[in-house]
Amino acid sequence: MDEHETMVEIGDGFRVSRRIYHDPSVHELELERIFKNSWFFVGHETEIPNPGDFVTRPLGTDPAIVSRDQAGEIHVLLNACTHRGVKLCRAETGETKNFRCPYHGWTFGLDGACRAVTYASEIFGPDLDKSQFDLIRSGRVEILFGLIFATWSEEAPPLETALGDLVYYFKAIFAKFDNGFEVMGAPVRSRVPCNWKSETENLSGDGYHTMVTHETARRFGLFPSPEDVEEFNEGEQPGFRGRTVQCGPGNSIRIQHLPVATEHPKFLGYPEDLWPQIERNLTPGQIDIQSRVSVIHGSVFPNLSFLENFKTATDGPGSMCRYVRLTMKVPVSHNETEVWWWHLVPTDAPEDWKIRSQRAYVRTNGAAGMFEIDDSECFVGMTEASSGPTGLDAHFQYIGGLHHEKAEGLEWPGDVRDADRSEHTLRGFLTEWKRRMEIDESPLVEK
Amino acid sequence: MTTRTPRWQHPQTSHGRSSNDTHVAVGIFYAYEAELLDHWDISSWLDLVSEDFVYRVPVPLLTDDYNQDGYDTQSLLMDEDRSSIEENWAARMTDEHNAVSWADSPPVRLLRLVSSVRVRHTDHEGEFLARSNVRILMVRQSGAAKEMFGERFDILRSNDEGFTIASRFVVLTSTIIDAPRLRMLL
Repeated sequence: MDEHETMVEIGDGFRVSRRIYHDPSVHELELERIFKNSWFFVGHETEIPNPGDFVTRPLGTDPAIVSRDQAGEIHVLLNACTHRGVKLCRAETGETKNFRCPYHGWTFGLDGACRAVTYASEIFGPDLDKSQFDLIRSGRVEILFGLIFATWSEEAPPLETALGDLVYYFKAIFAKFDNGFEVMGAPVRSRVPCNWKSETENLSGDGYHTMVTHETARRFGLFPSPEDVEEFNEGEQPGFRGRTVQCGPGNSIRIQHLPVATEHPKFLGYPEDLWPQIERNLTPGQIDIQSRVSVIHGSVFPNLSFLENFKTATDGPGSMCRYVRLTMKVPVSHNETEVWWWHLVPTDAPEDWKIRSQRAYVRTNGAAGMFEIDDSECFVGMTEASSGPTGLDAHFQYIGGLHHEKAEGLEWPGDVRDADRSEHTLRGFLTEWKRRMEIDESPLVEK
Repeated sequence: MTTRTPRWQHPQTSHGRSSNDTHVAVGIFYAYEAELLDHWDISSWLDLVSEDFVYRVPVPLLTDDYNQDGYDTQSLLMDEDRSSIEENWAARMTDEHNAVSWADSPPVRLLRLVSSVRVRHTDHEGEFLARSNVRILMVRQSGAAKEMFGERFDILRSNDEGFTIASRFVVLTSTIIDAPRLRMLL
């Protein structure tokens, strides 16, 4: 590697070393500098609705228990006994009063408190202070619009600071209904032999790949068709609108609207009975996001992505249905990622609508959906083709859309660009990655 | 874990096992069926399924209950029917579309091992619940073999030529799916 180069060069020639994706020593540093201290998504409130419910999840890359105690409070705990570090919860989900270690039988409450030490006085004497053996707790837990986030760091900024301007957009997605969203069951877990950043970057707002990678999806009618657009349009047809937004430290969103005019806001794909809730709960700018929207997706730094999309003919013509997805990319190594996939539906939607949403989702943007298998082909191909010594020494240029002007006069916060095909959001993600990795102080790069 | 009303469950029957002859016939049927799927001949495979065929794979889930079925009754990995498979799966394996069906070009090479076939009667004459174990070895491009495996629950209807598959429900054994392609007819 050229010792005078840095890994991410910000500026007109935004150059990125391929090492940030495929060099194991860079990944070692990521684990320390990004995966120990960021805010991470760990689940949705509706996954653990009742006292005693728990799920096991990674917090960063450490195994954690996400539990609801008898008072209803949610805790995120390192899933390891404090005596010898044995894993306490071996299931992915369950209901319990406490967690008992299979090694020496130490027992912990749903809040992580050390409740019982077996043969305590015999082995540890009469004065053992059990509280010093409470489970290791996350530094903070916060819930926003039903999404549970946690961080190991006690010094992390508040969640809303980390999300920045994305909170406004999250409200438009997750808080538009009176009773919010609920999960459609347990998440899928899959392994993809690629770097965790590849799909995160893509979902940050890469509208550029869509018509190439997803060509068959277009041909087979998984996108809204010209006939759909004609049907939805009620006035003078506007031009196509796609926007990409850098909104907060490393966070981003892409919002694409159908080229249709409507007399009143139309929330296509949601049950019409729920439309008044959307208008009531959102601001005009947020209603503008939801009305006539085709697809929304984006990423929360470092590894959570969200998507709101729809299929116009789930069960044949006229059976339009929308779905919301969360995906989390957890690194297993520099070239291996475990992906978690959640499907969310409005709590108040009728059951038959929820089933249709599930069908629309699993056939398209679910883990086994047509969009995802073709996307994976690209992400895995990056690993295969760029991990050799020559590939590692090469760079990528993230210069797409540098010439697009910042959109002014909108209610939408953040750095908004009126451009659907852009690398604007990818630059936002990589800029935060560089800041967090403190590349200049890294032993990996000599100044 | 809070119990919810199940949305998806594997088919069950209170009837006994069918004859050895039926077991042999179903085993032969599965061998030829696997040949079609291994060679991605989905169009021919569709001749083996009924008009009302549904294919569902629930999300595998490990709960803390020793008495569990190994899947979530709420969430699905796949939910297809005859027309969706024809329009969105088989069509990718045609001259017209394969070149831009990136994950299928070149196709993943497959080898299915179907075993432990168990056939039971159902409430309907000529209709059987056939359970079998399936293991699919999968090789993407020049990579190492990976696999998907699980237990299949099929509703089979007998006809003059053998059987028609009316539904297939597959419970995957792994909670983390590590395969080069998750979109599979198991």
